Amino acid sequence: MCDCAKKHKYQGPDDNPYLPYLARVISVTLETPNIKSFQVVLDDKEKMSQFSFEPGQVAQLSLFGVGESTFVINSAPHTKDYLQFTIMRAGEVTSAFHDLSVGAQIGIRAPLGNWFPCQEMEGRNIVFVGGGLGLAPLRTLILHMLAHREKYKDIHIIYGSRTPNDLCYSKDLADWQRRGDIHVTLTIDREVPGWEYKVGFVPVVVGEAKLNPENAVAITCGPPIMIKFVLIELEKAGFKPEQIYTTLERRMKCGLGLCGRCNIGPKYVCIDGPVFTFAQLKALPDEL
Amino acid sequence: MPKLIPQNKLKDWLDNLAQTHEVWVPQDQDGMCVIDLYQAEREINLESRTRFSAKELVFPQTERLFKYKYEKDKDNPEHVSVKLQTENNVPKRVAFGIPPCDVAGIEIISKVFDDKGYKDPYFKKRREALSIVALGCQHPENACFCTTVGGSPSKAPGADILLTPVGDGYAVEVLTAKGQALIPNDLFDKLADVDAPDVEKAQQKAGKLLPAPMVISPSAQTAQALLKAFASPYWNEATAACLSCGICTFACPTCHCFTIVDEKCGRCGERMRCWDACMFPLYTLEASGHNPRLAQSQRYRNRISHKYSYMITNNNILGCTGCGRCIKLCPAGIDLRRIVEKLIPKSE
Repeated sequence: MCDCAKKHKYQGPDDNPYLPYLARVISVTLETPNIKSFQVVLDDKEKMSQFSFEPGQVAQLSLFGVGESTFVINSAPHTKDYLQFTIMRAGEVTSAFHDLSVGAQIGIRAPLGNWFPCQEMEGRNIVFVGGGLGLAPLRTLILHMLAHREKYKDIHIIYGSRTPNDLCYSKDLADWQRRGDIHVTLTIDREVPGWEYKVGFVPVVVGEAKLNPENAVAITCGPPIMIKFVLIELEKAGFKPEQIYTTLERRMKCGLGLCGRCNIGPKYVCIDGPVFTFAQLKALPDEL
Repeated sequence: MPKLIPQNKLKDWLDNLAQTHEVWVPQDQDGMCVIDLYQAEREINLESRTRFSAKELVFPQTERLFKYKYEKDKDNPEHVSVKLQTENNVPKRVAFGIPPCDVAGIEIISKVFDDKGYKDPYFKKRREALSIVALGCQHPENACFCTTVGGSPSKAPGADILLTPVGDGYAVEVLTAKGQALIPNDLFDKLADVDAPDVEKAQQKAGKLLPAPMVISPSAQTAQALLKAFASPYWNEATAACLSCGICTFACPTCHCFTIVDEKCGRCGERMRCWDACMFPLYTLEASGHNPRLAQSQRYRNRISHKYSYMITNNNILGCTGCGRCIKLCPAGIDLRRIVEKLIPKSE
């Protein structure tokens, strides 16, 4: 056993995991009309250079006086000069984040939670299925795999959103499409003039893709209704539940497995997740 | 051999303890028996059951995690920085005269907050600063069922001193070094000894007053029973009357769910953690509008399953002390014992 678990566990200043480290926003990107990406840097330069996490791990970001919320770290693990988070304006904390400008100070408790077992995925064909902001947790893993491209076999990214304006990370998508060594399928729900890629819901596109389950792993994230039907399509294509990974969201407060609210049966999404295989989820009470 | 402290000497002991500790002791207030700070001029009440448990001594209803303050940089007033500040001092406390079920509650919360995985530094500090003088239970109430869940009305593992009512006084058994430090020699040297068999006899009395035990053990079998009953329609039937008021969680000695909120006042403020309740619909409501436990029956099922299944799986313990407060205080008359009896097969 490696000591990853220890290395990627949030300790906090003075061994107090409720205390955040301070960080500043260095860049804000408008992804879609209601989604922004924030690049942040820890105030403590040494902490920043030593900061390490695995793809899929999350952070508790706070604005003092407003509150704390959970977001996945979506920059690449090998990017050492900043951490990136993508936030949809939804509630009180996310709205306050959307009002931030470069230079604003925030609190960050990270890394928290488990991660995608990318070592176990080496030597296998990889299918990513994302919808809307669900591409955020996949992005870290995609960037990680692209940085170690030779370790993975075919990589196929299927990504969709309602309209072309709702696609996140358009620069990344363009980069990935330009690369010859991965396959990218983009789709939107309804036809729009000028759209040159697929039209149709993500699960339908997954069905049409005729995916080969042999020696493959599928990773999906998106709205729950999309995941539900993607799962049906993947199983139809022959994927077994243990070949399919997803990452869950739940309302969280502590992120430490103590405050009680994010459980599904005996498992806490904050410490036992957020990454689960569908085989693991099937063994849990139906409480999604 | 244990000493026997007569009723009329208790005050001397409490006054002595109050010189060095915050002493928290059951007393009557506004028609309720509550655990509160000992004050020499107030009567204490060791006869009644306190309305709420003693968990607030280690896990206060509201507690500051840290203070924050935004300040302008002197050299560059456009640059604003935030400073965080924590407190390290917690008061040295004695919980005096709390029943064994409340001691068990503190032990159970310790298993969650200070055992494996992430440790809660705020709880840890308060627990270390707390000494417990438990009082063996003399009058089990109708709702009491500590023996059912493996507890005892007269033993209190986790306490530092155990008092047992004997005649017109209390037998004082020192259980730990922390407890020994609470014994003022000049007072206790003058006290008479009490025979161990007499203490034992007194201890057995309370157990006989409790209902015949339906023993539920923290076994994998118990944990499985509730998982199996997860989809049972019985949950709807059993919890139809529930008002989601949350009193069962607030009164419970083991409920430890909390929320974290920021309180803001101009450029400074504080981050607080406060008791929360899994009975409230907002507890799991997500910003998207989705709520995984929207129905009251789902929330009640989670509460019972947490105590009688999930805590067995995660912490090897039952999360219930059998104090009966949730039964006594429930305005809808929901009786946890009926639900547990129906869904969990007897293990012995």
